[in-house]
Amino acid sequence: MNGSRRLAAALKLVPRDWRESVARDLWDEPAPPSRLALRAASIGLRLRVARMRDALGHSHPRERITPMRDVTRDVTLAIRGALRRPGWSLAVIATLAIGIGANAAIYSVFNWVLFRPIPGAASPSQLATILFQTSKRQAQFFVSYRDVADLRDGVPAFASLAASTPMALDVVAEGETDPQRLDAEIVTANYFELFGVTPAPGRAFRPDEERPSASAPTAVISRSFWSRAFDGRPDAIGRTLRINGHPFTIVGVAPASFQGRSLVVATDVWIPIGAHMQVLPNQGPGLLTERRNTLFGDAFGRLRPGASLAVAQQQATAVAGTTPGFARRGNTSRDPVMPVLYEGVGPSTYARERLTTIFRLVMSAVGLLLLLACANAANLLLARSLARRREIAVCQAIGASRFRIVRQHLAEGVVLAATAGLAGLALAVLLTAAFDGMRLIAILPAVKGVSIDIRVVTFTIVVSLATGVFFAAAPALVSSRVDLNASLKDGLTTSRRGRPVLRNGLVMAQVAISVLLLVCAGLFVRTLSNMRALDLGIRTEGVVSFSVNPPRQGYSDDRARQYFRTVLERLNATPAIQDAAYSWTTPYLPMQSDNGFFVAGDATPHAAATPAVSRGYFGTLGIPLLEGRDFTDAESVGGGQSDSVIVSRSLARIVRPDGHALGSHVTLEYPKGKSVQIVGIVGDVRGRRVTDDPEPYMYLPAPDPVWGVVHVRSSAPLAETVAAIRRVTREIDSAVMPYDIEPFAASVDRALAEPRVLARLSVVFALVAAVLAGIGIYGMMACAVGERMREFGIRLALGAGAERLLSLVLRSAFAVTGAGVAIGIAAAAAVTRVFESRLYGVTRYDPPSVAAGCAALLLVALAASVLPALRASRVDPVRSLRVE
Amino acid sequence: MLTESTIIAMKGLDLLGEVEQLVLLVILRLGEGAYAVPIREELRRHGVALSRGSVYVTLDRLERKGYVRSWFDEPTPEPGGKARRCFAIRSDGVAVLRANQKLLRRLRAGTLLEPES
Repeated sequence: MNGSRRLAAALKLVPRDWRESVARDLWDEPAPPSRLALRAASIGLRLRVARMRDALGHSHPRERITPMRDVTRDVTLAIRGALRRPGWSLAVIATLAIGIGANAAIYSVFNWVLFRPIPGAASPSQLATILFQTSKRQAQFFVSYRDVADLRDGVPAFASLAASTPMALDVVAEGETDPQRLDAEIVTANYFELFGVTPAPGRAFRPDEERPSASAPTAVISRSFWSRAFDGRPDAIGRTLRINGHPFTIVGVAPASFQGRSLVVATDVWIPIGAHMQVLPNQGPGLLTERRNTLFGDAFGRLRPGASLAVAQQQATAVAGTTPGFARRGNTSRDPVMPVLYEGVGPSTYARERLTTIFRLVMSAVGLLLLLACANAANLLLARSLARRREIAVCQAIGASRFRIVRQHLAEGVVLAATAGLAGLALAVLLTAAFDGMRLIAILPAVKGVSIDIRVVTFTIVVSLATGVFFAAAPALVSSRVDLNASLKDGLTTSRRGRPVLRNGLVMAQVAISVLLLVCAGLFVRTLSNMRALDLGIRTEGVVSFSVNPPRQGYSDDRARQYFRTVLERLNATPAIQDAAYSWTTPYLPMQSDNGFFVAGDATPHAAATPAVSRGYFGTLGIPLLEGRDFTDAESVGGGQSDSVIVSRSLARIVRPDGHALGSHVTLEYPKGKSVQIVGIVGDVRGRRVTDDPEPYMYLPAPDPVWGVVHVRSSAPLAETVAAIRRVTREIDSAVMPYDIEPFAASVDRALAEPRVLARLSVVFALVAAVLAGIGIYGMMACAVGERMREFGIRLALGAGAERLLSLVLRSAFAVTGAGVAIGIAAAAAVTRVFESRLYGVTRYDPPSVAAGCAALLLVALAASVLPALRASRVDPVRSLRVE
Repeated sequence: MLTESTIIAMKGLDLLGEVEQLVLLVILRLGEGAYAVPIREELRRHGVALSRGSVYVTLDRLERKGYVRSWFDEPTPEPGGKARRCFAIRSDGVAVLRANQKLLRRLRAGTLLEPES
């Protein structure tokens, strides 16, 4: 670079308004250009540094003050003030960070499962979910392929419309022998186009792949499965996967960011609907035909640019109204099924509603926690502004307006809260990890790998700023109202009236909030333990269940029945296993068959749950046989033609009030008029929801199933039992994989997901709240004792004993705490109504919970005020009087 | 225009730095149209060696405070020729300078520095 170019570059350092004249001035003093460049650079740097320092620090009275510069100055002052008292600032920041962090963590977990747009999709705001619901929006149905086709033609507001059904499939990669069960979706061919996702390497599905074809069907795999099974090699395209025993050709790899239609389940394999016969043979070939009662899956649409969801909804409703047989699905109930459009793609309506109610509850609790943290920080700020009263008075005396001082306080609050927000965000990252593996509701898989996205960050920023303004507002208003005369005359005048009222009020609020949270935690914990202690009527220990579905591997019904018989025989012959039986469904799933029945001489039907079970089911699950006998093998094999039933005790009581219904006949509602005889009476079972009272059960003998759930009872350790199950099934046919192998207790446990989440979180919140309240009480007492040292000295000098001072201080602590506790109890009485329906076995006024909450808080108060009280009792009268 | 007494009454006296006072005084001496190079030269003649940067920083600050004003003179007669930034003191600058000097004088009174040699 030559000298003049270097000079030109150096002049760039000079502020623009000086650049030209500096160049001219330098030119006045002859010197080689390289030296001039050095001078220019030095001048430029000095000018810039000086301007920056002036802007940050010193105020110039003649300088034109812009609002922005004013804000900068407020913030600079606030930062300086915070740095000057690092311990105090740290205390405020830590307190707020706990509150903000907890809020951010809870929000990020629910954002992950509920709010965030579907990952990897292009312009997710244009996506919509089409659900088929009855007008009361209670029931929700899958759509049939024909319905999807009608909507495609009849709703021009949608640029495209696709459907997908999620399911687990048994997949064997080339060169492997054992199938792995992967999450998959069966989709219409335009599925990837709809989400705006382009598989690479490879391609998406072609329209003709929506039709059944004779050649090997195609599959798209996820990037994660690609790297797991094929080490990310490009030659995976064109290779073969065996899915449920049928060969599929891999044609594409989805991008890493795209995980399918679900927020929580990552899909690994997509196959086109044209291949449904290979994986869903029991649905029959009608899936793609005119039959509207063959259900397919959920429909998703992408709105055309400019089209609104409301227009699409109108068009969809019109299609439903004008297409004969639309969404008919064989049910002719009075309440027609209509397509209802929802913005975005996410959890199902049912899951969404359940999650939303939990979200509201937990968010209110964590919001209270933040409120408490704010009260705590406000108190710290108040204590400091007390110490700074003189400084503030000086500011006012030289002409600072009250607004100016309030603004300065608010700036301090915002600066501290912003720092706390950063710390809180870091805390949230740690806290969300604690949610890994936690199930929020029974029907969704456990939360995994929650990460913080822009929505969480935005949420945190908003919360932090609001927090800053909120917690600084009261101290700002109070401390700006300074009595100039008094403050300037004597910095040590004791507190004026307003201060302790606000300070004590803030502590009272903290105590009240923690009592409220403690009482709620007590109620939720007792609810959970009551639910756990429920007698389900089933002995779950040692019971392991698993599902098998041989028809998926192409078994004919006869072969499948034979398969089940063999499985039971072999399992029963295994030494580690005492009993084995099967049923069509398992308890604690919402899907259960129901039937009505009539007792002789009574025309009103009674409802009963009617599960079909094999011989040995009661023994395996430990349901006591009270009277009569179990089913025989002959009844089970009879293909459902047997007229023997076994009923639960409560059903027996319906038949005969004394319960001795053995041998009685009842008539079934379906098949109409069929008469069955009660051959056995067993104990009651809570089978659908653990908290429901036992329903009447009528067990039908299960004809050998073609698929179903097998239960085994074993005294061996779980791992051994699972190994035995895998060994037995592999020996029979390694292609038919047992899935959902889990201890029976786990399915009960899953049913308790919601109360468990509430109990756990509420306990954590309550503990944090109690600790924060303890810190608050300590701060209040330390401050109060400090102010009253002189008074205590006088009291001692006049003959008061140390123990009297001790009790004096403790009494004042308990006065505030007691008032807070009373407010907390009243608040709890009002607030617990919101979640009364979630309690089980406790009333919302549950005395033990309330008592425990109050006792815990009083203990905290005692612990927090002991130190200040001791300090008061040990005051040296001479020194304390000499202080001033 | 503000008189020195109103300035002091309204805002309190703006205490000028030594360099600020020196530069203001030199601008007064040189008269309208003073610019950085002669200002520095004049100071050097009185035995004060300031760096170029200090002169510019001080001029910049004085202007932002409203004590001096500046304008650009005729650019050099060549393509892309540069213009010089000239300074003159404002009435506020005079007032504040006077107030500062008066303050020094008042503080000096009765000390060993009085009477002036």
